[in-house]
Amino acid sequence: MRISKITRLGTIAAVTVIMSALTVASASAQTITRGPYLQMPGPDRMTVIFHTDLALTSAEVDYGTTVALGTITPGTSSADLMGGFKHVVELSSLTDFTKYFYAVGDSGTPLTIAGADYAFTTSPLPGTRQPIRIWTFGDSGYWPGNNGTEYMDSRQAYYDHVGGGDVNVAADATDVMMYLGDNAYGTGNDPTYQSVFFSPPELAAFLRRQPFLSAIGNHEGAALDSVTETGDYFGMFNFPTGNELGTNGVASGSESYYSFDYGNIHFIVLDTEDNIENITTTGAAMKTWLEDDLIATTADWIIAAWHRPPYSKGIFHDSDAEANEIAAREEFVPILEDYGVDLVISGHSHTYERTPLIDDHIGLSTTLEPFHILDGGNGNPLVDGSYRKASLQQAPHEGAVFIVTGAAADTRAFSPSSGHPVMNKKLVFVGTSVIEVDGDVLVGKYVNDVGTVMDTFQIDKGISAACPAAPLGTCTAAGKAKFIVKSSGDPAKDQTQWKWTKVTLDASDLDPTSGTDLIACAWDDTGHIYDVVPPNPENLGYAQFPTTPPPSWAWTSKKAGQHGYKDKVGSVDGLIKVKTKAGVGKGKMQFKSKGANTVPPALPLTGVLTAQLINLDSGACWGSTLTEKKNDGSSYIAAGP
Amino acid sequence: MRRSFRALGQSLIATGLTAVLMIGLSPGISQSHPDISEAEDAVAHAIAASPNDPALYLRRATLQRSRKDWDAAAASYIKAADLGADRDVTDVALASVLLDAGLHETALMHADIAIARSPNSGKASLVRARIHARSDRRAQAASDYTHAVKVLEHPEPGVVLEAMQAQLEVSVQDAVELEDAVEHEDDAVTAGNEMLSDGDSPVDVAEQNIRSALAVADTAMAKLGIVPTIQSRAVELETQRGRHDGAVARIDTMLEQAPRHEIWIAERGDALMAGGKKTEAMNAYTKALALVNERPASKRSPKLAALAIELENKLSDQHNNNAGDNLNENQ
Repeated sequence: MRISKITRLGTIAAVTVIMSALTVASASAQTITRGPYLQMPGPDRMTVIFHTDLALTSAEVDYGTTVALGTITPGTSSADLMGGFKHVVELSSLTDFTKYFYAVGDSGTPLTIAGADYAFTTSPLPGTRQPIRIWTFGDSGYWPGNNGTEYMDSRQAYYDHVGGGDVNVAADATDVMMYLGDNAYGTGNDPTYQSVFFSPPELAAFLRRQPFLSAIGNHEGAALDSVTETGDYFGMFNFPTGNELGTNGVASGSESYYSFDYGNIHFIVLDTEDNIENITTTGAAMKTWLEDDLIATTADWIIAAWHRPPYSKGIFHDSDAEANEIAAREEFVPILEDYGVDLVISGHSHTYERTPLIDDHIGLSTTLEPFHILDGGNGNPLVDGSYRKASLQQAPHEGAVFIVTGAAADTRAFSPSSGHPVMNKKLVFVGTSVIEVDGDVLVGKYVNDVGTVMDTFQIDKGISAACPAAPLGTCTAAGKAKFIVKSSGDPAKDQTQWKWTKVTLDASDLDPTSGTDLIACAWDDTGHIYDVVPPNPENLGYAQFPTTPPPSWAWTSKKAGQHGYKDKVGSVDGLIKVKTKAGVGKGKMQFKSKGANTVPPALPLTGVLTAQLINLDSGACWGSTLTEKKNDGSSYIAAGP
Repeated sequence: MRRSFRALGQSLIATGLTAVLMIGLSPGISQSHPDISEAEDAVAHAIAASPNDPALYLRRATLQRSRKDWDAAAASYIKAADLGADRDVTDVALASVLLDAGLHETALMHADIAIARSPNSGKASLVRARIHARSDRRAQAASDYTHAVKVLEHPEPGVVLEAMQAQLEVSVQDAVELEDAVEHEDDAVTAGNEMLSDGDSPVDVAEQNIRSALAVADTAMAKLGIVPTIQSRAVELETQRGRHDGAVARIDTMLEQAPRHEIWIAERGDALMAGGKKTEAMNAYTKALALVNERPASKRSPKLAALAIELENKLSDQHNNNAGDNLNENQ
C-alpha cells in the first residue's frame, strides 16, 4: 500500500483550479476525453476506465473509504479509437457494500479531484437481503431532432424521484444500473457512443458514480461480432464472463451473455442479436449455459434482461413478426419459467408495456389464453393486490412479469393501437423503469420524464411478505376463534392450528382454487409473529405443467362454497389441512400446520394475540382478538372473541 | 426491388475480382428496418458532406449488412478499401459478406488475401474455416478453426463448440487431401488430424478427431477459464472415447463453480459407473438425488423432476442387482 500523493496534490489542485471544474488540468496538460466510468462492480472489485488525449506515464487510481483516499493501484494503457489513450485500472480486495472515493491520475499527478463527484459503492455479498434499487431502460441512444432533451428529462426525473434531483444522491440511491441496449444508435460504434453516452456532462456525472451493465441492442449488434467478441462495444465495456462479480451461477465464457448476483437477486443478461440469430449453431452455447446457470443459482429473485422483447406491439417492433423476438420468446422464456424467473426486462420498442403475472405464453399474441394469466390484476397493492408467488426462491411456473421499457429517449405508437393483448399497462410516455427489491418484495415503477409514476406493480414472494406490520383495523369479527401452538423442541411435533367459526363469508372470498389469494396472519404485542398462505393452484399452475409430478397436496370441493386442502407431508410450510366454508354467520375457516416444515411462533407470546385472515385480492379481512388460556415455553392456547 | 450491380461490378473489376459479377448477392431492400433506414439516411448525409471518408463507408456497409443487403454491403466495403480503409478489416468483412451471400469461392479469395497479410488474424481464420466447412473441405475447415481458436483473444464458447465439431467431422480422405495444404502446421499437430493416414481404421480416426476436438476445447479454456458449455461437450467426448477418468476430472472442474449442480453430479455418477466404479457411482447418484429432493416437488424444473425419476430408477436397479447377486451367492 502506498500513501497517496494524488490526495495531497489533488487538494492543492482543488484550490488552484477553477472550482467548478471537475477535471484537474495536470502539469503535462492531459485532458480526460472520456470517463472515468465504472465497470465490473463486484463485492470486492471495481474497474475504473478513463481516456486521455495524451499518453500517461503511469495511469493509476487512488482510492479509499474517505476523500483522503490512500491506496494507489496502477492500470494499463492502450491506444483508443479517438486518437488518444484508454486506461483501465482494476481495483481489487475491496470490502463489500462499502462506499469508496477515488481519483484518477498519472504517476502521482491527479487528473480528477477527490470528492463526492467521484465515488462508488461495492456490491453486497451474494445472498444478502437488503433494499436494492435497479434503474433500467433501453434505447437511450435515439436522439432524433431533440438533441437528447427527452432523455435528459427522463434521467432528471429519476434523479428527482430517488435523490431530490442531485446526481450524486441519485447515484448513492442506485444499486444496479442496467442498460438494455441501443444505448447509441447508428451502428452503436465508438464515435456515436462518445457523443450520446460518454460526453454529455449530465451523463458523465452519473457514469463516474455508478457502474453499469448492459445488454447488446440491435444497433450495437450492427457494429460488433458476438462470436468473436470484437467490435467497438466490447472495446468500451467489460462484462463478467465467469464468477468475477460474485455469483452462484456458472461461467458463460462470454461478454455477450452473462450472469451476476447483487444481494439476493440473480441477474441474467442474454444476447438477442448474433447469438439468438444463430441459436441452432453458435448461439446454442448460450441456451445450454442458461439452463446450467439457472440450476446453479439459489438466489431469492431471478431477473433476466435482454434487448428484444418477447411480447410487444411497438409500431416498428412486433413480437409476432420479428424473428429475434420470436426466438427469444420460444428459446429463452420456457427455460427461464422452468426455473422460476420473476421479471424479464427488455427494450427495443420505444414504449412502456408491462404484463400481469403470466406463464407459458410462448406462441403468437393470438394464442393468448386465460390460463396463461396467473393473476390478471394490475399488481398494485393499493388497487387490487400485489402479484404473489408462493416460493421465495426459484420454483417453476409461478409466473413472471415482463416489461418493455425502451422509451428512455423517444416514444412511438403501438400497432395495432390496442397493443399486445397480454399487456396490463401500455404507455407511450418517455421515461425509465425503477425496480426496488427488499427481501421478498419487488416493486416495479415507471417514472416518466416529468417525474410522474405512471405504473406501479408489486410481486410478493414466499409466505411472509403480505402480512402488514400491525393488524388491519377494519376486519369483520369472527363469532368464535381458537389459536393453538405446540413447540416442544422436536420439529416433527411442532404444530400451529387456528380456527374461526360463526363468521359471515361469501364463497368468492374463500376460493383458493379459483385464484383467490389468502393469507392468515397473527400478531402479539411485539408485532407480526406468524403467517400462513394456503397454496393457490392457479398460482402454482400445475395444470399447465403436466411434466411435473403432481405435488403431494390437493384441493377438493365436495359442496358449493366449501373447500378442503390436504397435504400429508406438509410440503408448503407444514400446512397439512385447510378447510373453508362460506355462509351467513355460519362460515368457517381452519388451518393446521404440523411437522418439520412448519415454523411456529417463538413461545411464550407477549400480550394480546390478534389473528386475521386477509383476502389479498380484495383486501377484505376477518379477525379476532383472542384471550390467552395457556402460554408457556412449549404451548400456547387462546380463544376468542 | 433488386439494386443495380453496376457500381459493385465496377468496383470489383477495379480490384480484380470479376467472379462475383454475374451473381446476385441479396434480395436488396425489401424489409422494413426503420431504425436502420434512419441510420443509413444519416450516413448518406455524412457521405455527401465527406465523400472520401472511408469510415463512413464502413459504417454504411455495416448497416447494409445488418439488413442482409449483401451486394450493397460488399460495394461499400470495396469503396471503403478504395478510400484507404484498413484492408485487414475490409477483406475479412468482404469474405464474410460473400460467404453469407453463398459465394464461397470468391469469399475464399478474400479470406486468403486477409490471412496472407495477417496470418494471426483469428477473425480471418474463422471466416475461412466457415467457408471451408460450407464447401465440404472438412480438413481445411478443422485446421482453420483450430488456428482461429488459438489466436483469438477471446474465443466465444459457441465458436469453440463449432471448432470442436469441425474436428470430429474430418475423415481420413479429408486429411490426406489436406496433407500438402496445411498452412498452420503447429496447429495441425495440436489438432492431431495431421496424424491421420490412409491406413487408419475408423476407430483410429474417431480417436484422433476426438483428441483434436479436446485440444481445441483445452486451448480455449486456457484463455477463458472453465466454461461449462465447452467442458460439458468435452465430457461427452471423453466418455465417447472411453476415458471415464478424464470425464470425471472434467466434471469436477465444473463442480468447483457450482458444487450442488444436480445434473453434473449425476453425470459424474454415469462416468464413474461407465468406468466400473460402481460404489462411487452410486454415491454420486445418491448425492444428486438428495440434492434434488431438497427442492420440494413443486419447486423442480421439468429437467430436475425427470432427473429425480432417473436417479431413483438407477438406484433401485442397482439395489435389485445387488440383491440378485446376494441371492445367487446364497444359492
